[in-house]
Amino acid sequence: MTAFIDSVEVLNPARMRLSPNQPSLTPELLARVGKGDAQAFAQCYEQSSSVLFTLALRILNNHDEASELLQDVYIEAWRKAGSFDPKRGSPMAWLITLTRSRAIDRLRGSASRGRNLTDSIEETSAGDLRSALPDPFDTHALGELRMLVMEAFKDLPAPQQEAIELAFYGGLTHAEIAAKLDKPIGTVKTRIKLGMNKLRYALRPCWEAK
Amino acid sequence: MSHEQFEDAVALYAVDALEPAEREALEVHIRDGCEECRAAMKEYRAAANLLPYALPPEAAPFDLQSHLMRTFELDRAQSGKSGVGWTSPAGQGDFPRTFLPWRRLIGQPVFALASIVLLLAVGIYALTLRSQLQTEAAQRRQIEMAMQDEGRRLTVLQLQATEQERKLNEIRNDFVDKLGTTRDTLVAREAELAQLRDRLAQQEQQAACRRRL
Repeated sequence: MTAFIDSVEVLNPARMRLSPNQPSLTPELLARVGKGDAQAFAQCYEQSSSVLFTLALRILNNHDEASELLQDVYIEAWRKAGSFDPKRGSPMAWLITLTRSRAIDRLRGSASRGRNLTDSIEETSAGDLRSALPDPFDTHALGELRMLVMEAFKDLPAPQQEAIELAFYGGLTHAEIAAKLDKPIGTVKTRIKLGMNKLRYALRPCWEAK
Repeated sequence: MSHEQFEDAVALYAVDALEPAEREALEVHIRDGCEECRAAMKEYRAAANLLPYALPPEAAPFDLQSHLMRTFELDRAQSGKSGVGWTSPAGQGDFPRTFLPWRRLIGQPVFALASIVLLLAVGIYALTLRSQLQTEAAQRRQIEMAMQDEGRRLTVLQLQATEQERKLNEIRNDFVDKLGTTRDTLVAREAELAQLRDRLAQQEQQAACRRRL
């Protein structure tokens, strides 16, 4: 299922830059990692470790577990980098998806809700769904992009933020969120839908700008 | 499900909030050619993938990278082939040499010579370090003994000072006592002198009366 998500990945930060002088986390760099290039791996680590660790820590809420998970993610990334398909998305999006899936699997226990995010990554994507939007990092440095996302998320009403966070970082379905918040399922669905819709439009300049 | 329902579900799909059956149904709907939902999916996924950038950034553990590199090397050495559980990219044979190229030197004479030189250097350094540590330990013992002597002398001086103070207090108390006695005696003498003066005055008056008579 996550492979399906990858297949319609819209962000393709192929020329992602963390600072004006920092090299990019490109598919080419990831290919070098796949060939066992330690220097490329170090470069990849430098450019991705902070956001991946932040994500793992947010999901697991435990520094040691997040560290351990990040180690597993990088080992898996190193192992699978050779078979990475750039058409399925950017390396950064791939690493984010891998980290989030592994963290949520760990948080909930594998396949505890009838679907296993980790296994779904291995699924073959549908070729007809492969496509990518322009790279938001073409026109936005990391700091600038971070500010845009923070502002967009902060502008959401608190109930919408909460519902999105419970889904994205908590790995909960709309029914589980409704039970947790003691709200009707329809209310939760609406909150997620409205919140994501606002984010979609607020962040659209990120991938529309040229 | 109607198209409108699928369209609503796309936002939830992007953050993994759908139930498994709903997910599958939406995937089928998009695979069946709904361009509208596919376009929406692209943007919702784009937005969702940016969510981690809204979090306050945390630095990864500072030693994780070096630990990872050691893990790769160890695993590679143990397995006698490439990487951690590594399967070389198709058709590429052995693990690429760009990873830890110094390993190729193992077994060559220059590597053995370098190892011996390194071991000797480490040995000499260890001996020097040991000697320095012994000297420093002896110096520390001397300083400790000197400090103990000084401590004893200080104790003696404190006892002497206490004794002197005690004697001084005795002398002062004795002096105060004597001073009190002397003052009392002086007061008594002054009283006696006053009586004698009164008596002398009376006698002088009596003598004067007698002369007039």
